[in-house]
Amino acid sequence: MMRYHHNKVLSFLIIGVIALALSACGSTATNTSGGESTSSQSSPNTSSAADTSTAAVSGPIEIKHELGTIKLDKVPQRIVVMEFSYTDALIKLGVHPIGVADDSDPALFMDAVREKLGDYTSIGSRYEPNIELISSLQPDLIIADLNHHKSVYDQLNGIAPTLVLNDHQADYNGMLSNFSVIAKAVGKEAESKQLIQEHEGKIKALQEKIVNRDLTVLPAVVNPKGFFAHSSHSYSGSFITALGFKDPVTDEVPYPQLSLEQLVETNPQVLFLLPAGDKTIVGEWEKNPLWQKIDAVKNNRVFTVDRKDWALSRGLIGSEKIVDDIVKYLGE
Amino acid sequence: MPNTIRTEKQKLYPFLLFLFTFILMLVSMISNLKWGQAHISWRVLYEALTYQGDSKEHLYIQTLRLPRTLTAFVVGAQLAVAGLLTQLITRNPLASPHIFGINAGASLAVVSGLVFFAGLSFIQSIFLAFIGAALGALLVWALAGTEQKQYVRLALAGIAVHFLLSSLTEGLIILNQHATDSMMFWLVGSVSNAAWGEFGAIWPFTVFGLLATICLLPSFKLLLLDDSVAAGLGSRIHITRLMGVLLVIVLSGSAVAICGPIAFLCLIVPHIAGSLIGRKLPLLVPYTALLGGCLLIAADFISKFIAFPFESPVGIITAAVGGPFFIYLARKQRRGR
Repeated sequence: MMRYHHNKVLSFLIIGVIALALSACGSTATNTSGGESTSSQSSPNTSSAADTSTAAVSGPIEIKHELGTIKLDKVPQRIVVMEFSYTDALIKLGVHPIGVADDSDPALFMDAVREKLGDYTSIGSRYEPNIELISSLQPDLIIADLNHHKSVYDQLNGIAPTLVLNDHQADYNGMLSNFSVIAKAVGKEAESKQLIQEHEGKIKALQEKIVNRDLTVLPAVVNPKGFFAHSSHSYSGSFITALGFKDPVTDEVPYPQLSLEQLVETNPQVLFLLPAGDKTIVGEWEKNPLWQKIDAVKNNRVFTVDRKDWALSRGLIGSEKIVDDIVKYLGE
Repeated sequence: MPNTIRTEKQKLYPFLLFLFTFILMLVSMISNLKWGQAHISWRVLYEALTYQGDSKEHLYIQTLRLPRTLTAFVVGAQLAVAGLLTQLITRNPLASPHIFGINAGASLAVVSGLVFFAGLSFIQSIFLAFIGAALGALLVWALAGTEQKQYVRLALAGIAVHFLLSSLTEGLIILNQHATDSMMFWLVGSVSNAAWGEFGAIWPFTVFGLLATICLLPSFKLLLLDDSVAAGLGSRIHITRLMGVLLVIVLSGSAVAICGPIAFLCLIVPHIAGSLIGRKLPLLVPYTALLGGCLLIAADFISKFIAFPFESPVGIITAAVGGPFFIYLARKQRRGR
């Protein structure tokens, strides 16, 4: 009798666990199908990738990258990208990728990129890209990241020539040189030089609107459990120092997690918060009298900006938005 | 005459041990308040503790370092007593809420709370952790069965459930990477962000859990006997066990909700305490609590300096010390047989 009872309890619990596991899977399934449905609405349009100017390029393109050399006999038409910054670069060059690793969430693109992106197929997470799905898209160029995709490089390279760049650890200058490499791969080297010149002119014009640049400025991603400063060894931090501001952290670590005590000691004069999630740790910290001791708080220079503009879309479009934001808050 | 001297000595020994541990705790506590990322002078430390002045330095101590140290103490005490109770209930010296799926259940519940309902208060996440811890415990009990002498099956079921629930937690984290960047830090166990809010949420559970444990001591003593003997004495051994499990859920669930699953503390502290003060429960339970709190404060102090000036989770220290200790215990057990 006891035994029978016991088995019943056991099976009930096992069903419970399975249900839990299934519901977890279910939520991701809807996510990916949501991403895919945007692409299935129309047939993948390859024509957009082709451009009149590509005719100017003659002969095969050969590019050395982080893990080898790729040789492209013709200008690639079906490109799969594995980072948000590569999407930013391609859109700037007027090329449309057919597949993007967007973490199954199209809301992570900055608005300016998403508007021009058109239809694409989501290949899932940037950290765990779906190899089968990439293969089924029959790409002729894949652009991957050294840190995230080193382990799957051989698999990717088997599908299509794979260009591996160091994006995850690139600062602003690294991003600019990556942009030139991508431009070369899609046969738009000449345009890219012009685009970079325009970009530099635009940055300079905006820069002049910011009168007081003798300030320490700290961008930081904040989530429910932590405060992650972006030092001058990170992308947004290096861009801010390139604009002439100072980095208050002065440490080699690109994304150090700071405690409130450290933040108060660091004492930035301007703070740009990049929230991930609705409620973040800053909500707790604001209640602490120490928060008022930070210069940025004393002088009302704490601004909330969009994480997708500042930290995800690491490219020309994204960095121009960063300067726009800075001019908006610190310009005259 | 010599006899009375010996009993005098026997009475004095536990007292001295308590005093020594208490002094050790005070020393670690003051070190934790004095040294950190910002430089604090002894004078400022004194002023801050007597609540004079409100400069940055005073506030570091009053609003960050003090609650953090107190939280470390109560969490350490809770986890250690929870470990002792688990070892009593299961009569398995290698048992602990960490190995038995209770901490993993609580973590799963807290992470789910963070992912599915943004902005939970501390109390809400503590209750979520209770549900998760209870789920973990129920699963283990259901898999191991309630027959007598099921200790090996209990340990195996515990490990299996621990890994099952941990994998679900990690799955949740991977699927929600952008919302849970720093969850890995929390999953190793950390008190670095504890402020008065955290301490205020947890101390009632500490007081309740420890008082309840002390009130139930007479019943728990029977767990030291053989099951059949205890049953022969008319004890309702199942009810005692159930009360014990509920206390473990309250003690370790609330600790996990605030600081994450801090590894091995609940396993090693009862053993160290037992070998120092003996197996008499009225002395062992309070001493385990004191030693657990003292050790977590000390570990937290060391963890500040692993990657100075940046914080490292205190769980790294407890795991680094606890792992080898666990192997030592397991080997000692085998030799004992």
